[in-house]
Amino acid sequence: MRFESSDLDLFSIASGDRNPLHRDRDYARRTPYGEPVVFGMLGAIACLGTSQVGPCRRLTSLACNFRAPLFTDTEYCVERAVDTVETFEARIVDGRRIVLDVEATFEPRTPTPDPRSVALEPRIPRTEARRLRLPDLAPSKSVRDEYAPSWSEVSALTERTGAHHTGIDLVDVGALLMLSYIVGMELPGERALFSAFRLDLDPDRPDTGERFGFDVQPAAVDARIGRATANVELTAAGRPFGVGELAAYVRDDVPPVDVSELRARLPEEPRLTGTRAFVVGGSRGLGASIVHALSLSGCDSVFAYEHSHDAAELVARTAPGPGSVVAVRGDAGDPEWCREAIEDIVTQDGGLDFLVCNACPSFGPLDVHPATIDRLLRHVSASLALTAVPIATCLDALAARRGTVAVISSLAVATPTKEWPHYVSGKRAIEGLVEVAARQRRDVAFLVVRPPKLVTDLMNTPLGRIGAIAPELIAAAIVARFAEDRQTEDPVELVDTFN
Amino acid sequence: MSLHDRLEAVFQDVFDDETIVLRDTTTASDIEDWDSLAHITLMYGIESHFGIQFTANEFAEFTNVGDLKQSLVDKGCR
Repeated sequence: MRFESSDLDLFSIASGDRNPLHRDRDYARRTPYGEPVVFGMLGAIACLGTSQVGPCRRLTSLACNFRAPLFTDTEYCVERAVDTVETFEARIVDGRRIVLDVEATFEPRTPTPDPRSVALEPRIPRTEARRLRLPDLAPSKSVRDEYAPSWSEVSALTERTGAHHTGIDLVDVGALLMLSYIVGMELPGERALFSAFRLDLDPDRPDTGERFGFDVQPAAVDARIGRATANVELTAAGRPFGVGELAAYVRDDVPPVDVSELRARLPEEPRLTGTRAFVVGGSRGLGASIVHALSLSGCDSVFAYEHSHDAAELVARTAPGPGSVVAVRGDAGDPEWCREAIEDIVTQDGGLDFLVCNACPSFGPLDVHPATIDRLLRHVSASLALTAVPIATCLDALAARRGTVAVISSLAVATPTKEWPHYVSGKRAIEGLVEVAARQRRDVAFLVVRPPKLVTDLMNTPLGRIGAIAPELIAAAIVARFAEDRQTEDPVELVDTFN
Repeated sequence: MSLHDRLEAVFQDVFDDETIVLRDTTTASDIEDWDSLAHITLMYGIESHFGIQFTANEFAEFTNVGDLKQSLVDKGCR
């Protein structure tokens, strides 16, 4: 099973679910997923499309857990545990990791005319997703409206997913699209990570394309993990035909750099005046904090970013000073681009004192499995390149000023995270490179920084945020270390405690 | 039924695996299907079974089953 970006377009047009997590590449880059996520409901429908249950059966209930994100251009497998005329239980797996699971029940029915013949204009109440937060989801904030998907696209989607061969008819698919629309656009809308739903359908519901309606009532929130549930009633031509429960995580915003926190943690007098730094990956999160901490310390810095143009402009524009900040766009893992960027810095600005290697490709959970090994290797290679190329390119310039390389590794190197084989492997490869480079070049100082979980876009997941610390704390520690004239016996200094 | 046995039963139920045997040193690494979502389901299952509520930090992170048991004891579970 594989999803293309055209499938996301089709689903979005059919359902009216325009949540940017699935549609906007730049937006998705600012999430932990790094790229557009396949609509969970598209995965569920495609999973149902593998059922052997024919159109003489009718869907009566469906429960689904969206356990991990699905991505385009990735090969997934469907494992069918039960596939009878009454019950369908299956899951989509990535390697051995369960990404999505569904349980459906069916009853007998007589096949009926195709509702594509019903002339019904789409009715999508909202074209821009609401941006509700967890506290906005009080039980009193129910949402009720009429809805009609775009039936011709629903039909195309049903065929694309194979659902038209099964007991899932066009109206059922339309109802499922309505659920996706509700979560992605209405409650909670843009911040949603649809995590689960259960839907019980009336076996005697109309099987033509009537005007739908929905009534959604927030039920409960769990502020610990940002999870919200809601009860939903679906109607067709005003008559109820389905009830269920929806669950979603509600993503919170990652706060911008807190300059006052940096100021409080750094010496009052700028101690890096007259120095220059190159920061790889400075547009967001820890990198942005480091850039601003350098600026506060009087260091003039250039930072590289590849995609997050708006965020990079903001970081450069809001630099607190006195050190200047310039953003340059490019792939720091590309030797040619990196060489030209460093040449510009050294020739125009007169040298380089600090190199901070912070960039890391985005990543999600991964299994070590033949089906995923290409992705694992790609991540490790890209991760290593984003550090190895700048280091190799900058060493001579740094040596000329007895400069320092700071490499952002991770506490996960010492305490590996089970779901991140690619991330841990990449960071260990980076640390290995630094260990050797430091022995080759004693005229440059090397720091390996192992931060714990940080409140950044990368960790902005339901469990990821819990216990995560502010990146300003790490940024201030690194920059304060730059200002020290510390001689160490070890070729590489490990920085893994932060106060 | 001891607290350990009750906790083990919750694990077996959540992971649908009656062969799970808990030790105080058991961590997420020891149970194959213990991913992020399973962790949330597990925590909800434990809260429901023992009638307690974890704090956010407890919910997200405990070192091993021994720590989890200690947390339950601290909350008055037996």
